[in-house]
Order: sequence, then C-alpha cells, then structure tokens
Amino acid sequence: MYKASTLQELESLEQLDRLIEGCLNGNRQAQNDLYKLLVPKMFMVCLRYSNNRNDAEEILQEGFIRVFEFLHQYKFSGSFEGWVRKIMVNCALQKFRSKSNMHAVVDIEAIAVEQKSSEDIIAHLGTKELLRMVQQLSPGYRTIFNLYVLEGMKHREIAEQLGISEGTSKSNLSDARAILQRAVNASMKSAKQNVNEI
Amino acid sequence: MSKDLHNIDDLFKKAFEEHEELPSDQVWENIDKSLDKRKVVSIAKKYNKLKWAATVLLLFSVGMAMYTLHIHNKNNELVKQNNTESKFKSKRSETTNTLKDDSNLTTMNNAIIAKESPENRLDNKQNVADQKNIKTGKTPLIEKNKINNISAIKREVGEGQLSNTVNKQPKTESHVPSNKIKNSVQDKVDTKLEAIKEERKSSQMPGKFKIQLIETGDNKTTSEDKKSLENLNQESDLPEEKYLNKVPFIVMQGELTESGNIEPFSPILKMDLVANVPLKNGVSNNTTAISKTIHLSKGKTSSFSLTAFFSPDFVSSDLKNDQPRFREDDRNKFEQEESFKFSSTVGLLVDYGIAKRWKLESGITYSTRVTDIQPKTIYARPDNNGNINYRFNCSAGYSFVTLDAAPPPVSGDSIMTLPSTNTLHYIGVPLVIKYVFTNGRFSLVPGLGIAANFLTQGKLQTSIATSTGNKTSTSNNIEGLKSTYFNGSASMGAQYKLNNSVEFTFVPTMRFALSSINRNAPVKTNESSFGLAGGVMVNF
Repeated sequence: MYKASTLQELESLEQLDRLIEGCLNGNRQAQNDLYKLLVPKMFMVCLRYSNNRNDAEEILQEGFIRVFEFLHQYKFSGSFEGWVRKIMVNCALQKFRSKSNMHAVVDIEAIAVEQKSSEDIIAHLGTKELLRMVQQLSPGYRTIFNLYVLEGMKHREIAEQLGISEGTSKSNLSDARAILQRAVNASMKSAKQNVNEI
Repeated sequence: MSKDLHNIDDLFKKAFEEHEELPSDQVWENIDKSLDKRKVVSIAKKYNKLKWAATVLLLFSVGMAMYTLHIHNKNNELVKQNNTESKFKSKRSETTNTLKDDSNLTTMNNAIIAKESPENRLDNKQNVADQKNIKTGKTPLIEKNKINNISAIKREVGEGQLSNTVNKQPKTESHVPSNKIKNSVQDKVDTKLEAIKEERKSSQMPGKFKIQLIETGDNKTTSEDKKSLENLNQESDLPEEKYLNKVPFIVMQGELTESGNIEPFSPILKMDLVANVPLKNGVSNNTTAISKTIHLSKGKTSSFSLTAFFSPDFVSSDLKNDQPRFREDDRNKFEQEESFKFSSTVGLLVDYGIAKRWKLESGITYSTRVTDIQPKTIYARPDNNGNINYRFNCSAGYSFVTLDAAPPPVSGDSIMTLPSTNTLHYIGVPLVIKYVFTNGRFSLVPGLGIAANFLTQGKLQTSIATSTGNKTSTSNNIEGLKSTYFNGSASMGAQYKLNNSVEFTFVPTMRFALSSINRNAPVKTNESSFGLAGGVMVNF
C-alpha cells in the first residue's frame, strides 16, 4: 500500500521511485496515489493555459493519461514533477494549436503603473483574481506569457514550439504584459474604492 | 516601463508558484476508465511473454534431453569398450600358447572377436565357410613380424602410401608367411597392422583395403571406396552376415591423416584394430568378424559444417488493433492498403553434431522486408512532444511527415500521399535443432527452432503532391517498431552430398511469430513467412 504524503517528502525519501514502479506494474492504487500527489499543482498549470475550468480539466485528463502511458520512458533522473509538468504543458499547447489565434490585435493604452510590491497586490487581489486575469487573455497572449514568464522559455524556443517568428513571440508577450498590468491596476483601484466606501 | 514589466512577471510568478487547485472527481474517473482499456492490452502482452518463455523452456529442455542422451550413449560405448578390453585381457592367458601357423592365428582371432561381440556374432555357417577357405589356402594370412607399439606402425606406414598402394593392388590370392607365436592380443593387433604393410608391399594381398573413417578427408581414396563405406555405415543395423558380403576392407578405429599416418582415436580403441571382411566375389575369404569397430564408427559425421544460403520469402502478417486513438488507426485499412513487395533472407549458419543424427544449428541471418502502401490520406496529429505534424500510419508503426515549405498543420488537417514504401531490415540469430535421415547421398533434415531478430533499419518513404511538385519524405524512425522480436521456425530440409566436403541444401522453412514486431502503435503486427532457402554446406 502506498501512503501519499507531500511530493517533496516522497522524493526525499526515494519513495517516489517505488510509486512509479507500482504504476508501471499496473497497480491502480499506485496510479491513484500518484495522481493525488500531482494533481493540485498540475491542475494549476492547466488552469493557466486555459480560459475556464472545463478546458483545464480536459487538458489535465489527457495529460495524466499520457503520463501513465509514457511512464516507462521516464529515466528516473531529474525531477519527476518537472517531467509531468512538461507533459501537461504539451497537452495544453496541443489544445491551444487547435484553437490557435496567434495574431490577435489588441489596442494597448499607455498605462501609468502604481508602484506596489507583489506581496501587497497578491494580498489585495488574491491568486484567483490574478489567475482570472491570465485566463482572460487571448489564447496566443496567454500561451506566450505562460511559456516565457512561468516556464522560463526563450523566445526562440517559443517560436519553434508554436511555429511563429521570434518577433511575434516578443510582441505578443509585450502586449500580454501590458494587458495584465492594466488589469491589475484596474483591480487595485476597484479594491481601494471598495475600502474607502466602507 | 521595463521595471514595471518585470514587476508584472514577478507578481504572477509568485502568485502561481505556491497556489494549488483541485479539479472535480470526474477527471480521475475518466482517467480510470481510460486506464482500464489499456489494461486489457497489457494482459495480452503478459500472455505473449509467457508464450515466449514457454517456447524457450521447451527448446531448452529438448536440447538438454538430447545432450543427456548423447552423453549416455557415449558412456555406454566406453563401457562396452572397457568390457571388451578386459575380456581381451582375460583371453590373454588363453592365447599364450603358440600359434603355429596362419590358420591357427586367424581362427583364434575369429573366436576371440566373435565372443567379444555378442551383437555382432557370426553365425555358425559363416564360420564354417571361413574355416574351409582357410584350409584351401584362400585366406590372406597375417605377417608374423611383431611390432611392439602402434607408433612403430605409424612410422612404417609412411606418407600417402597406404591408400594409394591399396587401391592399386590386384585382386589376386595371396600367401602370407607363417607367424611366430604371439602371447598377447596387443601383439596380434600389432602384427595384423604389420601384415597389412607387408602385404601391401608385396602386392600379394587380395582385394582392396581401406582404413575406416575415409570420410575424414582422405583425398586419396576412390569414390567407389567412399561409397562402399557410406553404404556400409548406413546399413549398420542389418545383420552381420550382410556386412560380410560387402566391400573388403580393414576396419580400424582411427584416422588416416593426410600425411598417411594412422592416428588411433584412444588407447582403448587400439585394442580393436582389426577385422577383415571377405571380398564380395569371394576372392578373399579371411572372415574375421567385423565386431564392434564398425558399430562404433558408423554414423560418425562431421562435427561442424557451415552453410551459406539465400531465401526468397513469402510474408503474411496478422494485424490486431492495439492502441487506436484516431479514426485512421484501424487494422482493416492497413490490410487494404498494404501488400508485401519483396522479402528475402540471406545468412551463414553453423551446424554442430550433438548426437549421431542430431544437429544444433545457429548463425546469423539478414532479412529484408519491403511493403508497398497505396495512396492514402494522412492526418495531422500530436507527436509525443506535443508538436503537430502529419502522422503516417502503417502496419509496422507510425512516422511523422514534415513539409518544410508548408505552414504548420493544425490537429485534424489532412493531406493525400502518393504510393509509399515501408522497408524493414533485421539481423537474426536462429537456434535450430535438426534430425538427419540419410539415404545414400540424399538426406532429409527436419528442424525446429527459434530466432531473435534485431532491427537494423526501419524506413518509411512517401511522396506528397504539392503545388510545386511531388515532395518525397523519408523517415528512418518508425515509432512503435520494436528493436527485437522473436519467431519460431519449422523446416524440412533436403541435402545432396556432392562429396565428403560439400553438400547442396534446399530448406523450405515456415517462420511464425512468437512476438509482434511493434508495440504502442495503432495495430499490433505478427509476421509469418515461408522461405525457400537454397545454399551450399561445407563440412569440416
């Protein structure tokens, strides 16, 4: 029987390998435990790449099926979480390609940014509000923003992955940032007004 | 602005890093259902492994049984030889009396050997006839000179003398001087060998004499001699009387080397050096029993032989749906679209005789399979890295086709291909156990075995018609193709012996799949083939 604890604990105790081997042997309990361990973080990844929960769940489902299908290809070296995350991102990109609209043109106004720390903004708005902002971006902007900012990919790599030019990737990222900045400011203003009214 | 943008990046990074969300329970239920479907496949795979393991175990058991039988037979022969030797020794005391003339010596030999070999016992009539012949002076008599050891004989026989001289000897009656008294069987043996030498020198010995084991590569013997010896060896199960009417020769448990020296096989066998057989035409009538010497040496074949062969193959494949994920992944489509164009196997095989009629064969083969694929529609699908490309499916597996000049396809896009070709190359290592039925120069050799086949190349070549002309795409990476697969084989070979060294072989072989050639592909393919292998075998 596999006892699920935190992923870090499992990795440090080298129990993760046994859990993976259990999955490779077709042990359903091991597969369920592995799913439970990974799903909170992986679902967050899927949410970032989609604009609603249903789409995110579809990506998550396809991603985990692939994880179990290609688990034998995992070399037991490097971060297992990173390997699973990559599969989730690839599934998200696959979904994105089928609904691709990479060249959406959005008017970006010059935005005056109020200087506040990240912690303050997160405290004021909450992660769910920030997630909603990302989800409201167009698929192209959202994907490039995720790949560049959150996955740490270079524009050249993004261009290769998505089949676009580096210039397009850069301009899309710039637009995405500007939209998000404006959205954050708007939310902050709204939050302040609410506080003042109270 | 740059700083602001950096702040935005940092803001979202920090917000999302530690945040976790849980999906609905429906997600796991769907995954669970999907895994159930795949489990059916994995059970089938498990049985395949069991089948393979059972086959290996069976062949190993058969091989071990044959080896044990071979060792057992050999031990029995050695025990018999030892018994014979001990009996000879016991007879020594009885034969210490003087043998006053050649007739006496021959008669004594007959008596001794007949007693020592119950299974080869001469019947009384034959013995009586022998005695008559001896009395009438027709018996070739044994030279009396005593040679104390076998090596002395070897020196005296000399290079190339024996066979050449023997074959040239006229079939005339002879007279051999009387012998001195011998007081041991060993002495008699030595004496007889010396007698051969003397008779050869004087050309007085009637008939031809041969050293047994002609087939060991003595080029000096005539084809007639060889044929006679072959026939004799093959008919060893007949009653001894029939032996005695065969060719005249002296049986010797040894080997005539190319230099003409006699090399006895073992110290034990030195005791069984002699046995004369009468000529068929009755000229020679020295009728010492053949005894065990023939029995022991008959059927002794070359330990090793090398066969080079080429085999055109007729291939058929059995397709089963394995992991169909898309509408085009159906086995019926592959069966309709594909046909084998060319298939062949070449190889070099080594046979090793593990028992009298049993051989073990292994070696190396190189096989080629070329499959024609009709024009078909292929669809853009995600690869394992999530990239979208046109996926070309075939019964061996699938490959992704990239069109450089065209815009990247979206999942579900389709394109039409022109006729395509799938080529597979394997190096195989077979292990076959064979049984040899021999009749004259012809042999029938049924065999049963297994082979491991290692993929050396899997190539998929297709062409796509575009507005700028046909574009050919070649992929040397067929996804799903296994690097190794196993097959069993059943064969019924025919061999024609051209001479002692060379044989022609024709081996119709049925090969059947023990494992599929692919996995994790839309279909699982099990290949069977029927090959007509023709080749040349060289015996060593």
